[in-house]
Amino acid sequence: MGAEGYLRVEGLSKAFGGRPALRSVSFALARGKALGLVGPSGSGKSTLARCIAGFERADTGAVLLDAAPPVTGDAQLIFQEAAASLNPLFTAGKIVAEPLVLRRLGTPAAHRKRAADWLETVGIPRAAIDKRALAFSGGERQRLAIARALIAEPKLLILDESLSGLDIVLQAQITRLLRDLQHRLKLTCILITHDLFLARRIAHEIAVMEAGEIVEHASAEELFAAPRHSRTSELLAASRALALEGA
Amino acid sequence: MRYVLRRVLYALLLLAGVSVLTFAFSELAPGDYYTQMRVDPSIAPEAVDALRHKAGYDRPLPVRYAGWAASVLRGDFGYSLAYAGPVGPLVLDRLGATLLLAGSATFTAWLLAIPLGIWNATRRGWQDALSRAAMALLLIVPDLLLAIVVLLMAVETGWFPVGSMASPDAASLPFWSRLLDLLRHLCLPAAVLVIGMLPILVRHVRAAMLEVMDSAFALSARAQGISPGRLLYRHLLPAAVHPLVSLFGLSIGTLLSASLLVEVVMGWPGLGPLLIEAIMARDVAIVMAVVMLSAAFLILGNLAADLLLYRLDPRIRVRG
Amino acid sequence: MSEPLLEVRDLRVSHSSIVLDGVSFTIQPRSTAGLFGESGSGKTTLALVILGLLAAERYRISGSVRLRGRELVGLGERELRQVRGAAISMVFQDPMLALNPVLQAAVQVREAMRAHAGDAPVEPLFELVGLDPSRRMLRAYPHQLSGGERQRVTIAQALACRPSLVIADEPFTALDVLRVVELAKLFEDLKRKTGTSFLIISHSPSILARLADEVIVLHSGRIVEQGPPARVFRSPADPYTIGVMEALADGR
Repeated sequence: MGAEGYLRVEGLSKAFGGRPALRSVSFALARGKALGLVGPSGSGKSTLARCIAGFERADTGAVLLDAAPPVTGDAQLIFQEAAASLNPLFTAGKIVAEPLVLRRLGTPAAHRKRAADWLETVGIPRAAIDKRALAFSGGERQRLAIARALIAEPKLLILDESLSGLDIVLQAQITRLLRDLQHRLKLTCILITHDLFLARRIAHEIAVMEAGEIVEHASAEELFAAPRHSRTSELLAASRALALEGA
Repeated sequence: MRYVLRRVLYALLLLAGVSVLTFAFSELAPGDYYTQMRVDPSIAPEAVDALRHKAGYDRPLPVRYAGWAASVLRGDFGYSLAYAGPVGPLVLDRLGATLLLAGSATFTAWLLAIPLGIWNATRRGWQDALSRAAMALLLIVPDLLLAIVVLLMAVETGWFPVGSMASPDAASLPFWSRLLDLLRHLCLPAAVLVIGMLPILVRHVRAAMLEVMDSAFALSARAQGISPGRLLYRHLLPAAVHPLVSLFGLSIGTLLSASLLVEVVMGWPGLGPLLIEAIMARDVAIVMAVVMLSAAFLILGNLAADLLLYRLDPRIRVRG
Repeated sequence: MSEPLLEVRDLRVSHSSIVLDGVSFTIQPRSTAGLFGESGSGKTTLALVILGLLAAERYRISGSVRLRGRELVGLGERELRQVRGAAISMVFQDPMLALNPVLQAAVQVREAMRAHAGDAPVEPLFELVGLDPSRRMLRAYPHQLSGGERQRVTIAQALACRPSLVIADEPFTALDVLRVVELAKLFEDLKRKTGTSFLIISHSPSILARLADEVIVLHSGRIVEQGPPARVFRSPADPYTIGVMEALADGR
């Protein structure tokens, strides 16, 4: 299996009590590429993410990450309000090093060094390693969540609406951080959002979901230039209507 | 409907389980009803043995339990050795008195707790602190101590009769006088129970009210200009009901057990004195009956709370 | 120019620290004002203090808020109740939390109406905010409604007594892009049909640019810039606003 099908999703279906959330979803994502998964609320984006990450078991279909079903820790998921997922009494170092501790990857001294390195990578001063989470601002806590997700070098990073509801300036900053990290570290990642413009900033390809199915999947430029499905056009039109001139 | 039937079935199974355990435990206690007699030198051991055999003590435990169960189904609810007769009528007789005491006390306690709790919640500051201190104080005082103090006061002042449910000549009095007489006798034990229950109820009402008062929907309603009175009774109280209903279920559940101690100390002729006597005398059948009755009330209380909650909280009743 | 509807002058609010530091602005009748502010800027406090909803014991308030010339700061609770809902009303940020979970949605709208406008059918109000007054809708509890429907219910509550000014606190924040467009259209619609003034609080310049006639930029309790949105967002004068617009542009 080449780099092409690093993440392969085949025929994934899931229903909740008779109500279908995913209808035979299939797609592939090459290694080191970012996919934007876009669609209105209720289209199944979160369910898809949870199935890929292993939080839910799909009814039918398969997920292959690097030619094997994903093992715990292969895929890291960051949720909306990521800042709230941090224990406010833990120090930054403890939070960020947690995946290493849980998976027993190295000595405590090594953990601390890795944690400090990652703090720097996400733009937080190394010296803040022993500061408690509640002493950080919302944006800084968001960065801690990202560092924590990436420290164990997962094969796949999924961000589920992690940027929605953030202050617009904060959103822009975190977007920039994610874009940089993705470029530098060649992260394979999926960004779930309902904002097409946001998706374009980070992702190489965009998949549009509607009622549990992927209705369009193309590179970001193609999608914006010549959308093929009506849902895509609708989302594009709405996003454009809301964008400031010059966007 | 199916839900209710299922709950009733579970309740019966639970009661059966309780009965087995109670029976087993009372067996674990050394001795039996005839132990006292055995110590008495004037009675021949053979006579005691014969009595024991007649009472069925030689038979194995499961057989004795089955005999008791059969008696329950027959309606006798066991045979009391002390009273030499079926337990059913004995317990029923006293049950009324206990329910009267516990019921009126619980009703009064809730009646007082709701406005007190609301008042507490709406007055922050020193009034709230004072009230909370008072409630805490009441909470600390043990029921037993309270009962004895009240009894002493009653004896000293002579304002209230001490002990029993009615005056000796009550039967000859006309209806209204008899009723008044009953109420006078009821006052003291009920007061002790109410004082015992009040602090916890008030705290819970207060906590439930505070939580809804701090909610976003309370602020939203205030922003619409709704008057404080209407806000409280039409908007806040209905929303605060949820935790209170569970507490109410518990109140019903502990209706029997709560008053037993007070009855014994203050001489109210309910199930309490009957139970204590039976325990001392090892009259297993009565003990079984009272314990089962208590368990039944607990289960009933829970069921009542669940059904009430189902009725009152749309989030449970109506699936979105 | 006609008399301003709302005139705020040198409004100061402090608690353990200063939340609003001498805020001044006006809102004209039949217009939409936009308040741009990030979290911590004091925007929600501003909305609450206009309605007199801040706990008097915990906050120190000084300055002036005049509604058609009538001073609101320092008014007693009873007088404030006459203003709330009747002259100025508010749409809160999270509709799920802003609605009472044990009362039917239609009942809550009726309660809002009863506060000042007596008993009247709620159906016309429902239609005004784009809710279909079907049996299902009229009997539903908040948890049975969709997010969008809940939000429209809270808007209906705010409009129930035909106030002159409606303050909407971050109504767009939790919505996806399609709902945002829908809601924006609703606001435009309402403005046209009812002549109500709106004060829309949002941290999204694009939405304010579309809806507001006048934008106020709030930063750390101070107004750093105000003016027509085109000017404020396209050629900001204040360093904070410049910083914001740069950060946004950079991300694209």
